[in-house]
Amino acid sequence: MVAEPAPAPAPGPAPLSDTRWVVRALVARVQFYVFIALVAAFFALPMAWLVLAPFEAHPSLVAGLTQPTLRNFVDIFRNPAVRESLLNSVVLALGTMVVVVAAAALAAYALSRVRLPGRNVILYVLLLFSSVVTGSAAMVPIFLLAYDLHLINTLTGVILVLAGGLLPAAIFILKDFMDSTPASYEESARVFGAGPFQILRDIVVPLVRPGLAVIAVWTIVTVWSSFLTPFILLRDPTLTPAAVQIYSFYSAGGTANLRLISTFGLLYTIPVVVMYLVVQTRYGFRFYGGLKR
Amino acid sequence: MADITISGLTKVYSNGVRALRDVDLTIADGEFFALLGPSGCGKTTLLRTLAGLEVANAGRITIAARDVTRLPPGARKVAMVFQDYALYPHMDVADNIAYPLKIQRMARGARRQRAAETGAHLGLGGLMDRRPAQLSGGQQQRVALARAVASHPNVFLFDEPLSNLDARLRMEARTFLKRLHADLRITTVYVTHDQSEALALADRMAVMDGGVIRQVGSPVEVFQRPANLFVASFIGSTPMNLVDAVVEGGRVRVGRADIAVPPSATGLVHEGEPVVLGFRPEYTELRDQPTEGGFPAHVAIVEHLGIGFLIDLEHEGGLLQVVVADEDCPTVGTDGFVVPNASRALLYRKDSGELIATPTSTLGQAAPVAAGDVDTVG
Repeated sequence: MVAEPAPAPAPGPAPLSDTRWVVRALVARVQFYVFIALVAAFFALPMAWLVLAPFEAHPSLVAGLTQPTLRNFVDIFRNPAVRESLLNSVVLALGTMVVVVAAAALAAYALSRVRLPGRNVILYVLLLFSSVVTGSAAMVPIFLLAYDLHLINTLTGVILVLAGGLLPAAIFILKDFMDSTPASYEESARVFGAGPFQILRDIVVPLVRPGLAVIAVWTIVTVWSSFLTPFILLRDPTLTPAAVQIYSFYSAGGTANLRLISTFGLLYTIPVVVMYLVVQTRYGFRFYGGLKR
Repeated sequence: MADITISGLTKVYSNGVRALRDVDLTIADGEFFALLGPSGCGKTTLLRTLAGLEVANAGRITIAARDVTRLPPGARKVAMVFQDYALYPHMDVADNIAYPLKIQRMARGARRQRAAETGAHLGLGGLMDRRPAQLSGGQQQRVALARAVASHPNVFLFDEPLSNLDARLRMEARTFLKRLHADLRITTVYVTHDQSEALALADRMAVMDGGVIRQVGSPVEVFQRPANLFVASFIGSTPMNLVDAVVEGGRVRVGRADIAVPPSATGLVHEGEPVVLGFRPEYTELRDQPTEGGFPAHVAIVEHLGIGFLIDLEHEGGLLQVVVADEDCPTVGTDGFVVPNASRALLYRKDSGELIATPTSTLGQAAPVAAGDVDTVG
């Protein structure tokens, strides 16, 4: 960066000010890189800890590798609660994903094609409700409702509550995708004799596949990291998902078991990172800053 | 046999627009029938109602003697080609063509086989594995046609299928359509706003305006004897000259000049009746000397048409247009005499705008022409 040529001097100033200009530009540039390095370190250090600590025999809050080992992984896989919780998370994430994608596809298709008075109002109200349903404010009524429906302490109950919270936004996003498929595609299929489900299967679903992928991945990631709903609705420790399980890696005295927490944390992160990479390469959209088609 | 009978068809959209008003129409088996009209005239609504994509508020549609008015689109045995072709971007050409067969539950191997045959027949031989996005506009249009052909319909419905092509391709595709129809002899209803397409392709055509059919007839009839002032001013690449006139002394007087009553109107007008005289710029001569039956006029604008020139002249009764041969092109600013070909001129009633002629000779509405008779037309 030192070799970078200084910008041509502005017309007018005397030759003496030239060197001062170069020095000032250099200092500004160094300051900039120092700042960037600090910001990067601030965000990278926890990541470094997450990656390094699981391979450390006695991890502390300092990131580093003094005594590399794989024992932590062996130990954690010996722990039945860990295996169960990861499996529970997978069941919850996939179950919710299936419910959300199927229901949202049907609902979005209907909302996109059927002319209803006040259709958009319905959608916005639904969207508003979604934040209420998964929000902590509704937890007591949801608990009571789940209790009355005998859904307490079942994965089904958690799946339904989570799906209910995610559906409005999913419908909202998918409807946009459905709206952008030309009506003539379906009309042409109708003239050839296709029924509504045939049209949905053969034409609409393949065309909105990127939208379905968005919904699916977003649902899995959201459910994978959701804590409050399963924490409240599940009492049986064999049913707790990974996000809740982490909470139990404390000794009776309240000190964190860093060996378990760091190793489990790494395992817990991997699926989300993998999914991000897959979606990124296949569809080229990003999780931040909105969706790109 | 797949003739189409439409009677009393009325369509009112939920926003109150009356797109079709009591339309009656008969289309013969194997006929190439064009629906022509300005945008918003109801031609596309009529086609969509035939397809079953719109439900009529009143009236009856029968296809091949079967009442289909209340049948869903898939049960009518029709195939529709859309303006944007509606090819499915996620399927290759063969799957696109075979999609109607998939709906008919034909096995995948058999239907791809038939798609390949149909495609080859329409000149799509080497393109079966391509996606629609990899095809040119003309090829996409043929795929859409092939898909319609492969479904073995009783009736083809075309909704402005050529309007997305550029001018050169459009001519080619037009000839292709004509040949395809000659090959298959499937009843075809063709919607267009381009009169040259209708005139070139159709065995018979209907001119629509405001949800009403204004004239039905062969392209020659419609072109040469428009049934009313609307059709007269709508049909023709250069619109017909229409000037106010009066019947006087057994002749048609326009300003200071007069011409003989056209043969079509002989005996049907009475002395002193106000009429509108219509004559096509193509059936009109421009002389530089005063002539019997010539309207004096002043050359205002000269437009080059490629072959010949279109001359705009100022006349006391309004603007007149004449098409002249290259060598007869006058200079702007000179005076000339517009001489309509009296045998091809037409008279319209001033009040109703209807053509003055014996009705049987003009209004093809009465009797549809049999398919065999119209081969020579166009």
